[in-house]
Amino acid sequence: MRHRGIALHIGPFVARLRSAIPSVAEGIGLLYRDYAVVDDQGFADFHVELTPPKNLRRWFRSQVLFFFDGRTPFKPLPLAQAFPFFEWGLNWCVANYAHRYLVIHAAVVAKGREAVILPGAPGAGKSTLCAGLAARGWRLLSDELTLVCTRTGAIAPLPRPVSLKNESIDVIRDFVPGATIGPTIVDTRKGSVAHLRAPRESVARAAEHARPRWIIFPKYERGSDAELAPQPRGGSFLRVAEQAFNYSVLGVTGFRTLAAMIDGCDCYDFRYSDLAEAVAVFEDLARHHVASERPTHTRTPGTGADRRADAP
Amino acid sequence: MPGALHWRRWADEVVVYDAASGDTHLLEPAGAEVLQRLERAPATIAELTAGLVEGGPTEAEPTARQYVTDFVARLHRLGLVEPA
Repeated sequence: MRHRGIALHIGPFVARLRSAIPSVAEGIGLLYRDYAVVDDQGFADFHVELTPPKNLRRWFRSQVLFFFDGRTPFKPLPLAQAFPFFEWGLNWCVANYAHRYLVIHAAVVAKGREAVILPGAPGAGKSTLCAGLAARGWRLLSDELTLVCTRTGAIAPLPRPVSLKNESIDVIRDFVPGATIGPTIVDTRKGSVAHLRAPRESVARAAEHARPRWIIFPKYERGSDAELAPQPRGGSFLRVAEQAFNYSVLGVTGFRTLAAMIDGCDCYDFRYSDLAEAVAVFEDLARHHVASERPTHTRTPGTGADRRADAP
Repeated sequence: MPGALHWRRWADEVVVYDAASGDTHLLEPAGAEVLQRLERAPATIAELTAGLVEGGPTEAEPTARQYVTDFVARLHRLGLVEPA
């Protein structure tokens, strides 16, 4: 990884990474060992490099810089955060450049060919829930970025290490004995962070798209029972749009892609405090295709799709 | 109408995307009906109100007129409509 780097096939992308920082190489070796390594000379979607700065901070209170295509989009971070920096930086690359997809800040898992999308702000508990579901037979498509193909509406998997934060690190250690979890990095802007290796099967099936079937807005609430509450589609549309990084960039395409996704999904709020209870609710959902409040949607009269106003 | 609007309706909710501004709005059915009417052609408050209360009780007219007045003002602030 020091000179020519390593090119990894990650979901629909190829990311070429160069770094001489030992913790980055160790993180790649531990958490990306099941990913295909791509030919050195082949095309890469993202060229990234993690390297210490050339100034005094190379040696004193050492820092790390993230380069994307030779540019540094971010301020430096402490050297100890180099591997999480790679993960966060790659998220940024996808969110800012993968515009053949509507990119939603959401975890996504699948049962069979049907996907449940878990949008939410940081701290909502979506990564913890995602990790718990992946450990109980749900296919991990992504813990952070849901890629909705603008051409087909299908979800393209982007299985990567699941980012666990603070208390959720121990929650998952307890829930998944023997899970491969990288070192805990403390004092990041998100608190303590560790990464759970993605299930091998999820990585192997990264080319298998899934159809969106449920949109569930999770919220961890200490002491609460696991409970689904149906939500109207219109309000859910706006909530998901708020979590879509490139909804504005895509314009009408973004609107149509999201609207089509909402058309085919049942939407819920979900409160939980116990991960095992939460998984049981999702299993029940998949078994029975709960649709208790599914409204009958109608299109605007006169068209089979969106209406378009004539210019005045 | 200043720009192109794109619509989706689900039960009692309507989402409209304004391509000119990039904004997305969530409307209730009555508001959507008013905006769709204006999308087709300019209309007065009275005409929009009549469209809403058509077939309904006459005592609903004052409430409907106030709703239409307030809603059109809101649409104007959002840049979705402009005076003819």
